[in-house]
Amino acid sequence: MKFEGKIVENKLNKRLKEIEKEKNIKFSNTQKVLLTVEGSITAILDVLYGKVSIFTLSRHFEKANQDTSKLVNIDEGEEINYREVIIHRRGQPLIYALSLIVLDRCKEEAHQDIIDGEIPLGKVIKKHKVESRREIQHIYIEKPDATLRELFKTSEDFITRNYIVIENDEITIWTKESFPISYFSDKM
Amino acid sequence: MKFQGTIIKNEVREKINKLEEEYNTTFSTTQKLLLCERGPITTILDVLYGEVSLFMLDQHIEKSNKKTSKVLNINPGDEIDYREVIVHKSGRPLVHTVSCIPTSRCSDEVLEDLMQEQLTTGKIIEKNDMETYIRINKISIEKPTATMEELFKTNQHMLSREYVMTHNKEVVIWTKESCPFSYFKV
Repeated sequence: MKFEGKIVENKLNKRLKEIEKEKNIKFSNTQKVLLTVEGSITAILDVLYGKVSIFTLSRHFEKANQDTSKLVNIDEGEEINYREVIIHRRGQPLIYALSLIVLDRCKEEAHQDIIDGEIPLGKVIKKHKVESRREIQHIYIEKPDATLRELFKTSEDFITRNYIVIENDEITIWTKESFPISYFSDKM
Repeated sequence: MKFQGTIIKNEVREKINKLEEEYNTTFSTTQKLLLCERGPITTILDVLYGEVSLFMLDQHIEKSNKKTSKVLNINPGDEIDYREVIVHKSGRPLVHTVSCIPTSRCSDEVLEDLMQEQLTTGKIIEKNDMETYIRINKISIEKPTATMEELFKTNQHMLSREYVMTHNKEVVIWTKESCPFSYFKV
């Protein structure tokens, strides 16, 4: 049988190719997948590298400022749950994730798990069978700030993606995930 | 800084490890990724292998039988859209997919999109801004059916996974994806 049919359009792959061209680099398959998957990145790291752990660097409630309110589409001064974690394997940091959560918009049963911060947000979504959709907004390469340099003990460029989780047509979570460009590469 | 914290439980990894043990094999990174991804597999294939295409093998409306009504949680005899496709790269088959969709749970827009042969179910969900929850029910290695042998021109075992998606707390799609066991080994 001869298989025909139209090519499936994929905007994310186009973005990866743009970055590869712009920076004259080549992403490994694992990097490509980590940057474009819709599901939980933690689950993927776990399947690839064995048991991984989550270490919370900071979690607290704060008032949204001009920048953060825009990211989750709320008014300035409204409350957001700020969550900064490192996913690591036996102390070796793998991925840094910063999430801004609009708790009031999240499924009520999930509130306590979000506040506790003991399990990754992807896992919270799974545990409470949260129906949602994800939109990957940006994929880019950036210079690390002091926090990332300190956490990963490197000053090399980082690959970052931002995405939002939408529940009942409203943004519930904005997340930024970053890892050093040499991580998950073919050379690793 | 010393990183501590709890190890995260992962059922999919446990299923994969169990299969590896049972069949005395080791899955490749790509195979693992394809088995555990909760989003559209076509996106991953596209990212890994470049532009991939969708070829519709069969699409028709049928009455659900005992098996399909059970996985979709509908009554036997209820109407479903049966969709069978091959995702291929320049004619080389990569993954075979069967999906069953209860038509009564689809909006008119989704039903219309389903009739568009070039749209994957993942794309239809994205296009219609559908909020879903995905549950991977089964990951298995099984003997190929005659159809699989014909499509992939091989009699080797198939690596398969089955999952359902819910929307408004009801199952809106059941999917089974399969590829020959030797595929995506590198």
